[in-house]
Amino acid sequence: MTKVPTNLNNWISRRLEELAERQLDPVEVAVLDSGIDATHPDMSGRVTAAYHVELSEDEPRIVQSGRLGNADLFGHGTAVTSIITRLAPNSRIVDIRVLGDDAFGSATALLTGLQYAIERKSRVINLSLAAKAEYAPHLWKLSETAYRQNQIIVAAKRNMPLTDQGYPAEFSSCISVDREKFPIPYRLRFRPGQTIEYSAHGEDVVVAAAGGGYTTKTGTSFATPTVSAFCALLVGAHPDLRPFEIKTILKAFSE
Amino acid sequence: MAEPTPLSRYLAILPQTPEERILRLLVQLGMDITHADEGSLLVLDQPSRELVFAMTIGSRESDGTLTGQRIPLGKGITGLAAATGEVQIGAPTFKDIRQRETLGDGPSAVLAAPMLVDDTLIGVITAVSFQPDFRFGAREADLYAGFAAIAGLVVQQRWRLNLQGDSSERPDSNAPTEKERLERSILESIHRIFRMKPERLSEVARLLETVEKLAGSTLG
Repeated sequence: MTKVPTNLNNWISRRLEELAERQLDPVEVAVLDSGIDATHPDMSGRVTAAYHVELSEDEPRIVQSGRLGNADLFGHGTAVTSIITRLAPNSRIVDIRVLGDDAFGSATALLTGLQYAIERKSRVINLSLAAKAEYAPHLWKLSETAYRQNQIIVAAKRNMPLTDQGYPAEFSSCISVDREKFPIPYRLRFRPGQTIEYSAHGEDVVVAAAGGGYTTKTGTSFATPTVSAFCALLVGAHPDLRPFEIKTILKAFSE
Repeated sequence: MAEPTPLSRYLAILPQTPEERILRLLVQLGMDITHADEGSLLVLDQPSRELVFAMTIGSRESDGTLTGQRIPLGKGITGLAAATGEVQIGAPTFKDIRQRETLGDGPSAVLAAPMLVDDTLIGVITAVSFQPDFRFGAREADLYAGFAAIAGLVVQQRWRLNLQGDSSERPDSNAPTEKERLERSILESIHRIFRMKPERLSEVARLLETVEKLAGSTLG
């Protein structure tokens, strides 16, 4: 039996790091964001496919990108993804661009992208963005479907929680994430009794920049991929884990 | 007749009005509290999908050259804040992960917070620092988000007052009217049903026909 030392936080961080060092099953993580610069060294070979949402007058549709290049219009998706690839070496990324171009911040694009990630059974879905409250019913249905299909949606709390904390982050079928400053990334805090259940490292996070190089980012968007990475590690080690079991393990790993 | 300013044209806020002064004050306060060198307010020109500089504070030179300038909605930190509806913090890009040698020029730090009215984007307020190694943090982001929220509320209140009073008070504005907002909301609902529940469309069509017939006498 593993002996639990007195400094529990360090012990937990070390267990997660050990998991990251092990040869785990690959886990598909769908990143719904502004696209990814697949040419960045941090993404090397890790982005397996790229899609974007096209909003025509008839119906929004998912289109596969011809080749894996720099598809990131804002640098947001690349930054988010670099956190996942760094913390979870077993993650295989599917880039689903729902921000930018004609899909500019549209909830329809987000819904279409999420529906596609659910259809392709991506095991972990990272949503470092939120939709308006009026789309909550649609997002709720999709989140429930994902939960029943054993998929884990990790969703960011709104940075500006004026009317709500953000959708789908408010749903219990998702794992919701706020930001906090931790000295190391392999840390997590459980927030008992709160709508947003966890907080992860999301301040001054060093991330990959689209087009090359590195920058720092702050916000719930950059705390969320830390939790997605933990989920990818846990699913990689124990592929049969159900979402509620993942939540329980994350809680056990939390401060 | 005076030339319309970006604020009057896109947000129906006339020069020298209390609302214009409050918006200026909010940007100034935001700048002071976050120790920024410059602060700007950009308004959304929906048809061209561009953000237009409406005011810049902190540098007379920038105010003169930037006001009226346009930036595409889909680019940079300002565009990202607009697209996500979330406050965004920008820092320089470094060549390597140890962050020593920077790539490219530009400010040391940028903060952009979206101005929203009923969750609809109307503009963005920004703060910029040129001091080496300066960074905006989570606290500054939260504060600026708050100022942007108040700025959105100021604009919303002005619109409500305009609607209650003489509608001709509203200058040449691209901001949506209540009628336009309602129309868009109905169209969006139908679009959502089309996408999420296409099998219910015939039912919706029948319902709309009935409504149209009922309204027929008053529609003439």
